[in-house]
Amino acid sequence: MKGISTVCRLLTIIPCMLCTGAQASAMPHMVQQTSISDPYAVAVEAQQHYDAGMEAVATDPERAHALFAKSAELYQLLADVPIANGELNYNLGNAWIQAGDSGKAIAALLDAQLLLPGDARVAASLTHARALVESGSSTSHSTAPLDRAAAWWSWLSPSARGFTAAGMWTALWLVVAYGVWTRWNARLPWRTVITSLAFTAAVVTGTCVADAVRTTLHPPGVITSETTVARKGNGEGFAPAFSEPLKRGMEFTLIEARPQWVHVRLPDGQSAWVRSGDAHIAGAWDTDRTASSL
Amino acid sequence: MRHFMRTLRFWIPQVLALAVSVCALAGDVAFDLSPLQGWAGTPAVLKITVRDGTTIADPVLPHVDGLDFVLQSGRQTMNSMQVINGRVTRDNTTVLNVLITPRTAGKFTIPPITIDVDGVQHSSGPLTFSSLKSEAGDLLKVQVVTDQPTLWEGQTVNATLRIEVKPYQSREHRVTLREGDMWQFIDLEKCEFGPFQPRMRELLQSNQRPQGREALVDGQSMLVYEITAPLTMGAPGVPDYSDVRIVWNYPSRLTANQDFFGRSELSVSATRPITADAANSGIEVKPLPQDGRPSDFGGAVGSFSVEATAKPLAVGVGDPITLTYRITDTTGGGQLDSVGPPRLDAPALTEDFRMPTAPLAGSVQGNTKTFTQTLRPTAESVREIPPIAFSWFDPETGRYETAASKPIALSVSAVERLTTDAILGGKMAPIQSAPALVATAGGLSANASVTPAIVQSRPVGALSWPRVGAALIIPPLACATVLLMRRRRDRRLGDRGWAQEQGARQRATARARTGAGAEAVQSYIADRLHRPSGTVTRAEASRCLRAAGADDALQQHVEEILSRAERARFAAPGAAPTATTDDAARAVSCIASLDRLNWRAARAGTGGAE
Repeated sequence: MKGISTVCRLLTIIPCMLCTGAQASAMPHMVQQTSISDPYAVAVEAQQHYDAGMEAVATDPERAHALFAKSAELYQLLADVPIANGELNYNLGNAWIQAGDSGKAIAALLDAQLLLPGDARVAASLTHARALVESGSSTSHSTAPLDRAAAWWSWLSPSARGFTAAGMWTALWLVVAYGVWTRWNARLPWRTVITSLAFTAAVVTGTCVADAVRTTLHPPGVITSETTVARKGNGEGFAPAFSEPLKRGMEFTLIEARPQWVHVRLPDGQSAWVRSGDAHIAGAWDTDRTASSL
Repeated sequence: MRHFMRTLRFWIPQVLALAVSVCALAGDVAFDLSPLQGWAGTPAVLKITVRDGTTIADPVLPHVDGLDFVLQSGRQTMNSMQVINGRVTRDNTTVLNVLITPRTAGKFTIPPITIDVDGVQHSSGPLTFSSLKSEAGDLLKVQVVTDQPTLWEGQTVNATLRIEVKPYQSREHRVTLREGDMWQFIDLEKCEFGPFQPRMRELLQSNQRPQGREALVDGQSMLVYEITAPLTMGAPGVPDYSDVRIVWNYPSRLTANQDFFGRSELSVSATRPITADAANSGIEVKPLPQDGRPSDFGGAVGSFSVEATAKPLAVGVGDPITLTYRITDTTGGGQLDSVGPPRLDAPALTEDFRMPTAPLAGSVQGNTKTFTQTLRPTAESVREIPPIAFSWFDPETGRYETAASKPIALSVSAVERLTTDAILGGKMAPIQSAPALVATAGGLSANASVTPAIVQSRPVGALSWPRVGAALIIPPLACATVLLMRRRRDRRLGDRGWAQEQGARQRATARARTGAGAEAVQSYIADRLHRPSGTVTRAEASRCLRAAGADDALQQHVEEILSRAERARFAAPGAAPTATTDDAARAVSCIASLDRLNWRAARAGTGGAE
């Protein structure tokens, strides 16, 4: 009976973890379908332009710039289909960096980071793109409690945390299975081991849930237009929120989205409204994600 | 003239007043030497007190044979102010101390000591001072003793520094100081313990002291303090322990005082220093004999064992081998500092190995001294490190002894040798130190490869539904499976009837297909009734089938199979009907029908095992 009750108690954890998985693995949902007959050919052409740009960058910078811009536009076509693919967005981000548009580069790389969490190449490109931003401090440092807490576990990549949680979960059930098989007669500190494994699995899973919640409720974004006048409300009739316009590449977190306007929190903690056309919200291909933040 | 005299009368008092005031400003200096009679080696203090001095130079100290002058660092300065009837008096006093130590006994005249105060020289005038030599007499004796009066050169023995001091007796107060009280008057700062210094330092660091005991020495009651330490005998002859000197501030007067509560207590109010050098108590050191002295003798005296190890044991020609040679003092004395290294210049060793020529330095740990040397085999034919001998003189037997380490087997392989020409002729690639590669930070990496997969949407991150679901569901499912298997196993072991029932149909079907249809049906019924196989009769079977809810057709079918089998069993040889394929099929069909019955009711109805 002891074994059965233990197993039953542990089984109650499953729905909670399933909820986690549901939140963390929401399947992308297409927002706006754009038909491209042969997307692969477009991707190949985009990469050919990129490679040609790299060849020309030392000898003919202007031509290289044009080639990079062409490559970025082609990659952007695919991304706007939308195709939610991390590697595609990574290539797109690199192309925009080479084309000199740090705002769109950061936008693409934020998408890539969502799709390829923990990818070192994406992180390096994102760092590079952020360094190109004029203000030099576009990285968002939110003061929200959840964001502050996330700083504690962000040293471990989300995928590593996911695997850790899965490992702990599996180990927990292996221990339970062994206990059931031996009728809990083996000389092991069963309660301690099971509690430790369950606690670790729960904590690590909790960080994954928190990350999912954080990016779902307040996804990151970036200003993509050259200059954007941030306003105190969602309309041109509202007064500017700041004496200076927001510059391209400035990152923010989304507070609220309304038609044509998004309410954003800037790195210094201030909030303002900007036109949604002047900004890019990471994970915009996912209507569930954007809807949940409304 | 009158005018001149009047002027003179006016100025003379003024000048005198000015001179007096200058002298007053220059300060008042007093010299005080105390005591005027002391003990040789004990300093007297010359106190120089300067009043109202602003700039005070160091005193000029004279040179006197037999006296040492030392100006104590630091000056004592006192400032005071008095107000009497509105008149303010300020007093500024500075005190300088000069220590004057007589090296010998005698009477000394110290020439004037001069000090400059505010530019004015002040002299002390000649000072007379005398010192006496403090004779220890029979009050203090120090000697070094050993168990054996005759020792060998280089021999290490436990020697004892024996300090005998006469306990102080005050006839006036009828008091004799005990050993603990007397030890307080040893002047440890001035004592020199020579070879016993390390042991004495150990005692002091652990807040201990030599325990004293009272003993009769030459008919006198003495306090004896002993310090024991290992001592290695030096050159032959009578050992000199003049570096051992004990200084005792021997009490000379007791004074009765009253403490806070009015009780009388005695305290030593005067002492005099007495000094005693260590005397030899008849120890004689003999030289080591020349007869029988081994050629490799390095001066070790005692009793030793040796051991050699080497590492690695499989090397190439010219590769280094670390030879470790341990010499252990088997007597446990542990005085190995003077033990030298073994001789490694034996031909058997030098022919086969190259080694540094620098002298070996050993390290002592406990009773073992360890020497290490690097050997390099010179040829592939070297098979072992030969025994290495070590000789010593054993003071117990009075003879030289020699021991050798065991040979150490080696495996030496050939290595490729490069000639100088090969190296200088450029046949060998030049050796270049590879530069350390330093990764650069920042910058872009290459784009991801463009494959058809890059234009396909993929789930976000690593947490996809199938993965999450599998990760969550599989472990508890596996656990539940284990739980079910455990329970099934437990029931099989604990419930024989249930175990018998399990798989009854499969077994019966398989048996029916072999042609034994009736036996199959019977064994199936027995299994379902939890009865041993072959114990169910036709009548019982019919009764059970009725109880299990079998219809008439099934009952008739079973009856027919069983009766047919019964007939076959009791028929004459050759007349028994042979089983056909149809019989087997009928039996299998019958078993399938039986499997649908309510056997729990049948068991209840027939009183079978439940």
